[in-house]
Order: sequence, then C-alpha cells, then structure tokens
Amino acid sequence: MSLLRVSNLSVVFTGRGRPPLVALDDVSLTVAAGETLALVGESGSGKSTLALAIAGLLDTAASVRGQIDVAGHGIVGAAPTALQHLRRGGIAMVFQDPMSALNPVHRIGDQIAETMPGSRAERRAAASRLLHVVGLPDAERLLEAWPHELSGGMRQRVALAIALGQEPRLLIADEPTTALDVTIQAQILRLLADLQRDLGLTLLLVTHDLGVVAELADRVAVLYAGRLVEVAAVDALFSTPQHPYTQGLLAARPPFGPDAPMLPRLTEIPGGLPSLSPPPPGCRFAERCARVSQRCREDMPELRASSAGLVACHHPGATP
Amino acid sequence: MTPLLQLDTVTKAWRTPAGLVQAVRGVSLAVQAGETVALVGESGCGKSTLARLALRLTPVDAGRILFDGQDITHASERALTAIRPRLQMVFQDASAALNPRRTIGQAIDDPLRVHGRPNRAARVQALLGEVGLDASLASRFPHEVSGGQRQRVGIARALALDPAVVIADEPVSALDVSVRAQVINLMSSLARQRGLAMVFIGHDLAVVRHLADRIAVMHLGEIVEAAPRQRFWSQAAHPYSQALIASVPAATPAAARARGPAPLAGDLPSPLAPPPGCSFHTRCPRAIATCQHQSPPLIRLAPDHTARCHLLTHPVLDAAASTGHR
Amino acid sequence: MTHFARRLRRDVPALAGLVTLVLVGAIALAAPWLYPGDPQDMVARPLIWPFQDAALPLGTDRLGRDLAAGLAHGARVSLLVGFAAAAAAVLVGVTVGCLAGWFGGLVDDSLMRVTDAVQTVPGFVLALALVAVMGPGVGTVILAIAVSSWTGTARVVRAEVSSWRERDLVAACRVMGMGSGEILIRQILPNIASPVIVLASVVVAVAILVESALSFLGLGDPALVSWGSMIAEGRGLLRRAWFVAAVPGVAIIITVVSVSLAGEAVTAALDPRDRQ
Repeated sequence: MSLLRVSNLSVVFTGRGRPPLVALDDVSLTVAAGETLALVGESGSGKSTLALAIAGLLDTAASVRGQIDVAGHGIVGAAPTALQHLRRGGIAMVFQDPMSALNPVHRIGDQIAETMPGSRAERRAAASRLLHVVGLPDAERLLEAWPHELSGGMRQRVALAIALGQEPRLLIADEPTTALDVTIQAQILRLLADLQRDLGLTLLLVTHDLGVVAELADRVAVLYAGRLVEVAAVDALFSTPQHPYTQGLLAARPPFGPDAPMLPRLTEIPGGLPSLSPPPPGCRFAERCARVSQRCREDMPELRASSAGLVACHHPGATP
Repeated sequence: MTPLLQLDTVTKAWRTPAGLVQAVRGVSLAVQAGETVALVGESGCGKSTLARLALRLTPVDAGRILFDGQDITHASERALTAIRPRLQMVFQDASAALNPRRTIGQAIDDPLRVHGRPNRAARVQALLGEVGLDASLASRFPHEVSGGQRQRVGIARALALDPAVVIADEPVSALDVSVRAQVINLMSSLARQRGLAMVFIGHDLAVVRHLADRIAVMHLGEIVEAAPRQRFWSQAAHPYSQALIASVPAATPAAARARGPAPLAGDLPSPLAPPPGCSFHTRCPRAIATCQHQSPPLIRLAPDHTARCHLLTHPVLDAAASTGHR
Repeated sequence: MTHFARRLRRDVPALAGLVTLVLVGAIALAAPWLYPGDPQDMVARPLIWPFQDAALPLGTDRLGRDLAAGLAHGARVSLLVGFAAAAAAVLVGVTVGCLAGWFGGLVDDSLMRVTDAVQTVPGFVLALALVAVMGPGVGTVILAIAVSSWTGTARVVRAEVSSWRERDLVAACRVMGMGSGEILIRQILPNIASPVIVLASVVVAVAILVESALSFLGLGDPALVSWGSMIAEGRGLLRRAWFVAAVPGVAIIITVVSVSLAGEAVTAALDPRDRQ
C-alpha cells in the first residue's frame, strides 16, 4: 500500500515584479510503506520544492495545484493545525545542514525530548535510547551538550535522532550527507541503511548524488526542470536507464573503482537548464538531447510505462 | 629538473578565539611543469591554507616557497608582481570570487589591465572563446549567467595572463553533475593544450582520479602519502588513503550491497588539539602502540611514492595487525 | 541609464521622492530670481493667511514678510547645510571605515576607539557646543553636524570592508596583482555603496533637522532666513496663526522624506542584481 501519493502536483512561484516560475509541473508519484524512494535532480530540478511541498512547508508565495496524500491525509490546502498534527506522527525531515534543525541555545537532550510524550525522566531515557540508535553511544554526556560542541557528523546524527523521536511514518532526508566529509558520509549512509532495515522506515531521499542513490534507494525518481522524466527500480535505473537525461547523468560521472577505466574525456551533457518562466512547450530536455526530433520541441512527452519502469520520452531506450 | 612550484617544510598556524590551529605542519610538495597534482583530504586538513600559502596570499610561519627556483617566501608585493601572472588561481565558488558589480568582460579584463597587456579587448574575446563562452556574455553580470558559466569565467580570468601554474581549489564541487563533467573536460583540455601545471584541491576522489597525475593526501596539516596515479589507485599504502578510497559511494547498487561497514569509525580529530604521535591513530583501524606517542617517519616506498606510517617500517606487525582485524 | 528609468517607473514612491527633491533644489537655486530682494523685508500687512492673496500664495508672517519668499531662500540654507554636512561626514566616515576595515589590527583598534569616543557625545549637544565656541554661521553648523555624524558611516564601512576583505574576491584580486588602493576603491567600494547612500540620506535629513533646531533656538546664522528660524518666528503665534510655523514645518517634512526616498532610489539603481 502506498504511504505517500503525489498526484498531478504543480507548484508555481510568483514574486513581485518577476514572471511566474514553474518549479514543478504535473508531478505524480507514490512511495510504498517501508521503501526508500530517491528523488534525484540537479539544482533547479524542483526536488527540494517537492520535498517541502510533501512536508507541508512551502511558503505562501507558491501556488500549489494537485494532491499530496500521506497515509490518507491531504497535505495541499490543509489547515496549519492539521499539518502540525501530521508532522508529529507522520512526517519528519532532516536537512543538508544539520545546524538548521538544531536550536543553538538549547541542549541536545532537551531538543530530542521536546516533542516526546511522558514524564521528564521517561523522555530523557527515550532521548538517550535514540542517541544509541543513531550511533552516539556516549549519550549521558551528549544529552548535556550544546549543538556547537558537536562535529558535523554528530550533528547530523542528532538531527536524525530528533526526527526519529517524532516516530514518523515518512522520513524526508534532503541531501543528508552533502555537507559531510567523505569518511563521515560513509558512516551516515550506512546508518541510514541500518535504520531503514531495522525500523522499517519509509524514506524519501532527496539528492543530486547518484552514489548516494546507489547506496540507499529501492526506487528512483529522476526530476528534470520541474518534471519527472524517469521512475524505475534502482537496479534497472543504473543498468538500463531509458531517458537520455538519466543516461547522461550516469555517464557524466568519472568512473571509480579498482578496475574502472581511465577515460581521456568525460561524457558531457551539453548546455544548461532551460528557463522555467515560462518553460519551453515541448520536452524540457530537448535542447540538450542527442536524440531530439521536431516532435520533442512541440509536444511534451508524458510519463509512460517502459521496459524498466516509467519514462517521459518520445525516443526512450538504451544508449545508442 | 627544477620544479615550477616547490613548497619546502612549510608551516602555518592560525590564531583563533579557541586557540592556535596548526593548519599546515611541515609540508613539502613539488609541482613539475605540465603536471596535475591533486591535494586531497577532509575539512580542516589544511589543503586550502596550503593553496593560500603557495600563492603568497598569507605569510608562512616557517619553511620556504620557491617558484621556478626563485625563493618567494618573503618577496615583497612589488617583487611578486613579476611572479603573479605565472601563478594563478581558480576558486570553488565563482560567485564569491567575481565582483557582482562588474561585468564578465570587465572581470576577465581586470588582470590584463593591471599588468598593462596590449590588445585587451581582443584578448578578452579570445579567452571567452577558449573557455567555451559566447562573446555576447561579456556585457552580462555574474549573477545573470549559470553556475557553470560563472566557473568558466573564473577559469578565463585565471588564464588571462598565460600562467604556468594554476591552483584550483575545489573548482567543480559547487557544480551540478552534468555541468561538472563539462568543466572538468574544459580544465583537462586547457591544461593539456597550454602545458599548464595544476594543483587540484578536491575531496571527490572520482574527480581526482580522472584529473590528477599525482596525488597527495593531507591529514591534519600533514601530507601523509604522495604517489603517482597508477601506484596510488592500485597500491595506496597509508591506512588513511585506503579509508578515503573505500569511503567513496558505490557506483552501482550491486557494488553498494557488496560493501562492508564504514571504513572509519569516529570523528575527525580537532585541528586545535591534534592527537600526539601519528595524528591519524585515533581513527586508524590498524594503529599499534607506537602510533600513539611517536610521530611516524616519512617512508620512501618507491622513488616517487612516500608515506608517513609506522606500519610501513614494521612489515611483520603490519601483516599481523591487518589479519587480526579482518 | 535606461535601466534606472525603467526601475523608477515601477517604483512610484522613489520616483516621487526624486522629483520632489529636484523640485526643491530648483526652487532653492532659483530663489534670487523668483523672489529678488531680501526675504526679510516687509512686503504686505502681517498675517495674511495662505491662499487669500494670489501675489502672496503662502501668506505673510508677523512682520508682513512673504512666507513663500522665505521658504525659497530658506531652502538654500537647508539644502546647503544638509548636503554639505552629509558630503563631509561620508568622506570622513568612508575614509576612516576603509582604513580600519582594510588594515585591521592596531589601525582598526585606534580608529574605532576614536569613533566610539565621538559617538558617545550626543550630536546635538556637540553642535550646540561648537556653535557656542565658534559663533553662529552656516560653516559652523555644517562642521558641527559633520563632526557628529561620520561615525555611523565609519562603522558600517568598516564592517563591510572587513567582511569583503575575507572573501575570495579579494584573494582573486591579489592573485591578479592588484594593489590595496585599487582593490578598495574599484572593487570593494562599489559593493558597499548601498548602505553608505542610505546612511548619507539619513545624514542629509538629520542635518536639515539639526540646522532647523539650531535656528529655532536662535543659534543659526542670523543674516540668513532658514526653515528653522521661520518656525521659531511662528512659535508665539501657534494659537492665532498656526500656518506661520506649519508652512516651513511641512517643507522640512516633505524634503526629509523625499531625501530618504531618493536615497533608496539611487541605491536600487546602482545594483545590477536588480536588473531584469
């Protein structure tokens, strides 16, 4: 059963003296309970807008159309009090910069215990248990610590503990390892994988890093310029990508590993993102695509079933 | 052959409110003409400080900096004017390194104007072309172009004076994947065509592997290993280099599933209070008793492959320790 | 400056401020031709209310002097004091702020202690003291206002310069081989013009008010009509003929508001990031 269902979601930002910006255009996707869906895209793809929309955190400058349902509760147009209720037992979020989730003037223990029920002693015990769960064994000392006394990796673990303390049905992780050092990133990625397995978390992972996707995701949704271009199981996406953009992203990575070849040049995706105010009429990727045809420039491809999942392309298929 | 850029046991400490940070501790590094040397390491390892020292943007506490055999450690700004055109820099965040109030054309013209070069307008046009930017962008402001285009402007500005060495501090870290490949290709083809030497500072080992002829790994202000590319990727000797390589996220889901636990537990030690002995021993999975109190010597494993690690002087212990751990 | 014009068309308050300021400036410049002769001369019977006599649109004061003529001539003094004091204050403030922010260390510490010292003295009291020592006169008033109002600019400029000094832009300029002077004047100053212009417009407004206050207290230049001295004239007539004080009062309010709006307009016009 799908825990999260996004249907025909469009988000347009309108600012004073600026043309409206179409950040998301007709996006539909589902996340089943217990699965990890990676939302992949570059800056300007709309991936963070989608995460914020699902969390009910979009600001009022955005006009939102379509539906978002989390465990049967509608998010779009819901009253702020209803959203607050949902956040407590429904959706939690961790961000790229863990400091943004931590209050610098409160001790770690108080911040974790804040949203929990029960007596002070019970909440403290629960907070200390959560610190163990996120791999911070020295809980007694850490409960008394201030956020600035922790390293980046520890802060992200604490942010995770706070999120888990809300017993969320859906955890949204927005670039959770991007700001961390490589060796710390490796630790947090494994922690997320363990949590997901042990607690049966449903995880919406927002990232630009295909390495992070390979490590954690069950399924992948690729966003480009506000539209979903491909949705597939993670193995299928990496082995037989159907959309030229997905193929380009995978090919643009420098190879790495003991047997990886040394390439003279990397495969580039030429050009850059199209303007989204207003977006081009046809396929958003048309101007950068090697397979572009006249039809692509005029007619927007819809998401359709493909051999490996869903793809929005007039000329899908293996890399030519 | 005289190296183009040579750092000789360079040391630098920063005074901070929390105390003295030993940012760079006795680092020696030589860059030959035409080669790309990568400096890799995690935050606080001193790689960016090292770049600033090499460019004489900040004075060294001890040690020497030589450019083309000439000691520039204490050269005056006036004396540096002759060196600066040959030693240039590309920054991580082009929008911070470009003046928001000056057009792209002015930004590329600035170094030419400062050094009184002739035919400046034509040079600016040629440089824009060389980095793959349309000439019409010259009248735009930095915020009016994309991140990839801004970084190309930063590269064009660094190339304006025909440098021999370019120090690039995380030049592609802020760019999106699809644009990153474009800029990496641009940098490697420019380096080849112009015979540039490059110091590439980065944390993304896949990018480093693609670009660098030689790799130097920094940990808490020291170079703990340096080796040419073939040797480094196949037989990195220092446990920290090995851990960095093993920490790179998997390329495919299958590779990810085949993986063990994270290569390193625990946190980076604070540069405010580096651990005694080997600065890596607190996280090292193979540390022995010696590592805790004695700082490791520089071991030469091959003519151009060096590492600082006690395990390399104790081959028997090394084998025992590693089998015991696995 | 087509970008400036386009921006202004969108921003009506800024446009209004700029137009009003230009108008006040034009009246001030044209005063000797619009109202030849001494505005202190009696021209009609006293206390004619505004809009009663077409020749005297703003009426006359207690001594039968033309209020419109006084306003026009007074504008000369008010604007001169306002802009001259602001120019002097900005010049000193930017110089001190640049030196302190750029060089840091001992230079910064000593310059900032001086700034602290000046800032602890209330501006108006300092102006009163200077006028008391040096005697009333336009020059004294300008000096007094400038001396007490450069500190804000110095502080802001110092903070901005020392923050810019740490940015990659300055490292990039030094790698290019630029000298400190060029980096400061050509690269950094244009980027910190916005807060300086806003502060300068505040200084202009404050200077006009301080000059008025000094004149109101009878410490202005006795040989010249100013808006402040005109209000002082009307002080005793507030019950009978409130317009005598209100006419120059409204002029002060309109000018001060339009200076501040015009400051914002210039700031916005200078920012390329605002271009569409």
